[in-house]
Amino acid sequence: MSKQKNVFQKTTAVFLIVSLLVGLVIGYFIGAATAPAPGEVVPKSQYDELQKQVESLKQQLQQLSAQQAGKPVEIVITAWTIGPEKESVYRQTNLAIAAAKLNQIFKAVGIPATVRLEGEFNTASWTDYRKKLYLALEGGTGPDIFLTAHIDTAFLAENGWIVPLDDYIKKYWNWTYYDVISGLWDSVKYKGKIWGVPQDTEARPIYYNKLLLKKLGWTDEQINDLPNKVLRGEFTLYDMLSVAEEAVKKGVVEPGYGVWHRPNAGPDWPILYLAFGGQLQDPSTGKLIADMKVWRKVFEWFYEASMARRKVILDKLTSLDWNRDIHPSIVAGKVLFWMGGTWHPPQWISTWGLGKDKFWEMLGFMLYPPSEKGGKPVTLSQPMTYFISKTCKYPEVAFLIITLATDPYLNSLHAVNSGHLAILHSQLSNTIYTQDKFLAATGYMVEYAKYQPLHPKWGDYSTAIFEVIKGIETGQFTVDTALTALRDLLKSRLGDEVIIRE
Amino acid sequence: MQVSRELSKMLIITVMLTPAVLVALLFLAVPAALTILISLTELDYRFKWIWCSLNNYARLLTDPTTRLVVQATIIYVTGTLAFNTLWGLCLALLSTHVHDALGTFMRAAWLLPRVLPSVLWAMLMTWIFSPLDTGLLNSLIISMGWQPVPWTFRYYWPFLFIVNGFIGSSLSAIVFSSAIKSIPPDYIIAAKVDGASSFVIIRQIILPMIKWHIAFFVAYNTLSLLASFEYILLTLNGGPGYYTTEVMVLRAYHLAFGQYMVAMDFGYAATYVTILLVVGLVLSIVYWRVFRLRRLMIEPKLE
Repeated sequence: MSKQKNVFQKTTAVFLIVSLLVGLVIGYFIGAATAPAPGEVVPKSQYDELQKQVESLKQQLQQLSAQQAGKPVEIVITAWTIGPEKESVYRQTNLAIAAAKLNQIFKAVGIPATVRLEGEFNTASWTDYRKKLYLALEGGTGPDIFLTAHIDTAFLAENGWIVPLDDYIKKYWNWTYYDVISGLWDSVKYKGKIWGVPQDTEARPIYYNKLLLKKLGWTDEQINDLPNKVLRGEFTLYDMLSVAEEAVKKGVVEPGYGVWHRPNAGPDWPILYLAFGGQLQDPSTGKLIADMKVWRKVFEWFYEASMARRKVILDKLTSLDWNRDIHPSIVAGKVLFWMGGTWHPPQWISTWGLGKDKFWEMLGFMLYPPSEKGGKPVTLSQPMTYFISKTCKYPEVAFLIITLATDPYLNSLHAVNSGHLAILHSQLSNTIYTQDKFLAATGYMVEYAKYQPLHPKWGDYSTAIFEVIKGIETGQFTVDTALTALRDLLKSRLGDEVIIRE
Repeated sequence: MQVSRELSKMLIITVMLTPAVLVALLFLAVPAALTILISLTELDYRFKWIWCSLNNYARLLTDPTTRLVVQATIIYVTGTLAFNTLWGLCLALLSTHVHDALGTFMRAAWLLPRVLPSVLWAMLMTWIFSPLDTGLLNSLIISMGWQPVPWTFRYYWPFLFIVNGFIGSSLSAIVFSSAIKSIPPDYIIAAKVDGASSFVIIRQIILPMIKWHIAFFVAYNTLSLLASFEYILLTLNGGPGYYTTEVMVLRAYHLAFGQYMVAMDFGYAATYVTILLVVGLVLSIVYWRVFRLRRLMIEPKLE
């Protein structure tokens, strides 16, 4: 009897082991047959949606491929972008990454085309870049995609150099455009159409030197509360002048090193006019406005600050050079208030060797103070924008590249590296973005930011402001002669495109 | 077939002049004509030939910066011309009164600024004369315990005269010194024998004998200075301040190529250039008459 039991036990054991092994083998094969393709799991509904959206593009490219005897269409998209600061190189890199992504999408959807992105990231001055760009666009040798400040929209649209993007944005709305912070669209809307895709934005704060304020006798509490005082309307532009004047009188800074601003023409010049309550553009006619009462207040402020009165703004400031004089002086801690931009700290840290800790120790930042107690602070943003030129042979492909580059991860890489602010809502919860202390601390400024008006003659107006203020600071103008000069310059250069309100 | 000598002579002259005439037409006359035409249009960033007759000239008359620009041009041209001519003369006289080798070396050394790339020369001069404490002169002055001087900020015209003068005076020095060297030495020896001092020799013999060269140089340099803006652009860029050193041709350059928003105001810029063209032509005629330059060109009656 036990011998039979032994045999039965042995047989059962063998049978169990064999069936286990067979089961493993069968299971493996079932698993291998039903495994998803390596790395990609896309719900079919999304895949179908994607197919539908790119249907027209697919047909167009399939036709082209057929004409070429079935070879995939090789699409080369040229893109020109600019910093000029090298920290903004992601403006170009993100496009290249987007082109690679687009190639993957084309493969997945079965579009017979490959996309290659060529082009350059420019580090020359804005004037040199714009000259090169405009002449190339006019001569037909321009790039397909290019980046420039949103303010160029008027020129570009008037000259017919760019394609309006309303239809594409509507078509690909769900890809990323629903996520764009809505105020940014105003910066690229001209004559009822949207002409570009915002690439980034920034704010222009006033930086104050905390170490110098301490030397002046301010407590840490007072120093750290300064941006809040500005927000509450308790610290005005004239308060700032008084602090700077005191610093000069007590020898904390050298005469003329109290308040510094840019030494050349640029977007910042209308900020004080806006701070004093001025209006720049008439919404109904689109014409530019010069409210001479407000300009008087602005010029009085500059005259008070000049070396002729409180000795707070250096008369030689407008002859200085950005890289030779301005940034080194700020980094060396010689300037009390600096009217700068959010992209300056990365430059100071990366190019001028200011340590990150030293930056936080030495410099704080606030909005431009209001003109009167209880008023609202102000700043200016000049969003950068991607445009598609009219000579682009594949505008939809170019648009898709821009769309894929307008991605919360890629854009956050750029924002953190270069000190620019978010353009997408989802960036505000992206870990790369939120971990950056500086961006988190300056994010609130975008709410108070205004844009320059979009008008073909805005450059002439802005330059006139700069030239007159230059004259005030070098002692050539009094407030009255400055007002006369501005009025004459505007009348001469803008003609009836400007409304001068006395 | 007998070709008369007259005709063959004319033919040879024509053939010899043709290349020069072609170059002058292509690179001088045609651009001048185009510039005048552009000044009658609103050519700018829109790249459209919008004819506007004399509107640009009317705008020039009402432009508040015109007065300053013209003033700057007059100061610049007369000042630099004076510096170039007088200092070149000094250099020529000095370098011909010393030993030959030393004289040649002097003139060669003075050629160095002209030979340097203009950007380098401009950077050097702005560093030397910088109004900040970091400039060469100011750091020397501060180390000696004195107050720094705002060189390019307050004394911008002398600064520009020096920057451009060092370039221009080397040419005049060479022209004048070769002229002085070609004076027959008999005159000088005779004067010395008669007991004339150096100053008298210079005033009574040398200067009158090189007057053609001086006249030529003045005429040439005036026209050349009317169109020169390179060093002003590189050093002061029309500043410091509101249009203090913005000469007419620099204004034209800024309007066409240097605007912040690149409006490329070619039409308006061409207006300034056309006026300079006319001024240049008028001055040439004036110089031709006043200096009697015709006499420079006619064949001498005695050889």
